[in-house]
Amino acid sequence: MNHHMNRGLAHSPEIWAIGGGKGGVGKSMVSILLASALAQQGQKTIIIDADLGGANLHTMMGIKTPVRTLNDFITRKYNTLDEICIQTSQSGLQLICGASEILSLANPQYAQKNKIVQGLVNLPADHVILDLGAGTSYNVLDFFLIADHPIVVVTPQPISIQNAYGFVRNTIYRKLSRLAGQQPSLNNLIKTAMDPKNDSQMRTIHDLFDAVSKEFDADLAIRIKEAVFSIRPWLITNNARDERDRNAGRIIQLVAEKYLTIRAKELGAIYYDPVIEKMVSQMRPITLLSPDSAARQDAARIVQRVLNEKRTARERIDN
Amino acid sequence: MKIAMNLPDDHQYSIMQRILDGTLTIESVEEFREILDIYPDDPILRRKYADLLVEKSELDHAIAAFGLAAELFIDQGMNLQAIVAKILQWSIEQPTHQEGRRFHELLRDEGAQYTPLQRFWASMGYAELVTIMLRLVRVRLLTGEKIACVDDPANEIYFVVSGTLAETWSPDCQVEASRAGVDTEPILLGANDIFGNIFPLDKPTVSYTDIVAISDVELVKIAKPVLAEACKTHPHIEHLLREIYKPDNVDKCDRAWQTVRRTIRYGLPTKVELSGAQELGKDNAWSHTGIAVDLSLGGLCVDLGPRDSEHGLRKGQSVELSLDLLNEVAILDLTGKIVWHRQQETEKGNSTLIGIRLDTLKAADRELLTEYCAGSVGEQNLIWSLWDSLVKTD
Repeated sequence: MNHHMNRGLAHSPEIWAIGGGKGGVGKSMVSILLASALAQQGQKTIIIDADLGGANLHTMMGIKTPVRTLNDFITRKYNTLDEICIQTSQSGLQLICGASEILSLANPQYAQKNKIVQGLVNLPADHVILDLGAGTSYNVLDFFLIADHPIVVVTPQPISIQNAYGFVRNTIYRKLSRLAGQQPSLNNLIKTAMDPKNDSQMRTIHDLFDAVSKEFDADLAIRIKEAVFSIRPWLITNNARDERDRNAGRIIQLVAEKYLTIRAKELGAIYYDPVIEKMVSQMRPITLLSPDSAARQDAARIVQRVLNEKRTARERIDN
Repeated sequence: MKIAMNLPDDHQYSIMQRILDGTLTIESVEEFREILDIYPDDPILRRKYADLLVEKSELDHAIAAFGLAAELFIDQGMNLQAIVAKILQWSIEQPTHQEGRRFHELLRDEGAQYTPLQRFWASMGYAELVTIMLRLVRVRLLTGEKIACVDDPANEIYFVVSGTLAETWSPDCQVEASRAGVDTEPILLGANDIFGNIFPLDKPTVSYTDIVAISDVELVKIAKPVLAEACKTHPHIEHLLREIYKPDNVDKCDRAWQTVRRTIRYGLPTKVELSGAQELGKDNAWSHTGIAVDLSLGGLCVDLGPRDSEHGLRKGQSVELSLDLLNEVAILDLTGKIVWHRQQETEKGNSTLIGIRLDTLKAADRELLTEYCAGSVGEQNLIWSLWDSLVKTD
């Protein structure tokens, strides 16, 4: 499922996945703001409503009834994702609508999921933004795991922080269970570790590494470590209203580092903007939000930071 | 192998955990003894019991309880905590040299030596250990209290016995460090961490960071001049001390995270509807609404709020529960058994707490609850400690 294996085209897009566990934290809004900021910078961007069970991104983009949806691609009405792209009101920004009318897509089969992933890789764009659904179902996590820029959105509320952390935690165990593949005993061990109060006393990912090392072999433990360390989610705190609110993402970062051994990175906060709520209820495209809006400027800063980090990483490799 | 991770685990019926984190206060020695009968090997519980005995002026029993706690701590690889228990024991009754030597031998022979801090305590000679123990001063901090400030003199080394602190750089330092490309993320300090910028011992030093308690914390400290004096007499102490401060130890020991933290117990309050079935031939069916303050896959603790009696509640009774998970699933219906219940005084009057062990969960329910609980007690505690200190406003 790793889309990098399928790359080769010079213009394979960078994939951003926006997840976060809890519904209502503003994943769709953040997706649109980031996509819009990328397009603003002249980057050809496609935003995809990957909330396969409850697609509604199009309404936030001011589209009442989408003429083409992901369903048309799955059911082979169109051969490529490119064909179902809809132009938005912003230049350089296209939209692929979700498929809420087909409930079965909330749980697509492996082949369907694979078809979507293959389609993503071949999209003629610089960036593809996946607006993921709520929860931590395997399908949500699998799309999150294929992203170049996996982003977790959290709001400064206890339940959101808890769910966002749960999302990160489940992402790791999902990756490991995929790695375990057809090894039932390893899979069982991973499942046990995932239970926060398991009887085997595995409380941290470190404990799991130790258990794998003891019960299997050191090489496998190293492979598992590498798989975990390769997960580097970015964190965005949405709807911040003051300076302290901005720390919501930091909580997940600190707990994830200590218990899951992963280095999540804070991308910053997007400040609460009441105008956005109004625009959503009026079905006005969020892309029309004033450039002076704090939320829009925050999103632009976040996009710039991601692009800068990517450039720095590339320079490091080149040198 | 004895490593410091192996503390008695979070108990799924919650009562032990709640005593340990202070959210359930047991003021009766008899009641505490009953609990110790169930969990005889928990050193932290034993230490709490000893503290209670001191409060009740039952000093003879307290001496024995501290002594047993020290042994149990050593058994769990918690050398520092064992030493603190022993200091408390000996503050009530001075030890003989024989008793002192016995403890030293126990620590040396049985104490874990996997981390530099464990080695620090377990590798000392008798005279060295006595020198240090006599000079350790206990410090207790409440959540939010600051113990170190940037640029203040660093006059002490602190050892964290229990609780969690956050170490942060000052805003000025952060700006400078950011320019220099140095990571300035806050660091969490927990049981068996140390702090205090004490080297060089013979020159004044200052703190580079602010350190604030993010839960109730117990520390022991030694003043730098006292330590310098001790190191002059016993150079081996300085050698052991330098080992703890070696930078590569951070990776090897993962700092505090070698031990399970027992910070303030938090949990996302979850509304729960409870109902108990009627017993055969009796008219005693009941239903209550409460808040599940401590929810896990194994069980939960429900606070039924202020009420005058525990009407209808029986240990071992089967109950039906509906949990409001505040998500798409909304309500999760489960069954379980009452394993304990008690009245606790609160500001609003007597509150009834019930511990419930859940019956075996269906796979789908288990998955939902796993997702909702989102982590172990340690993860949850840390999330809520950080929430209180970093985000929550009054």
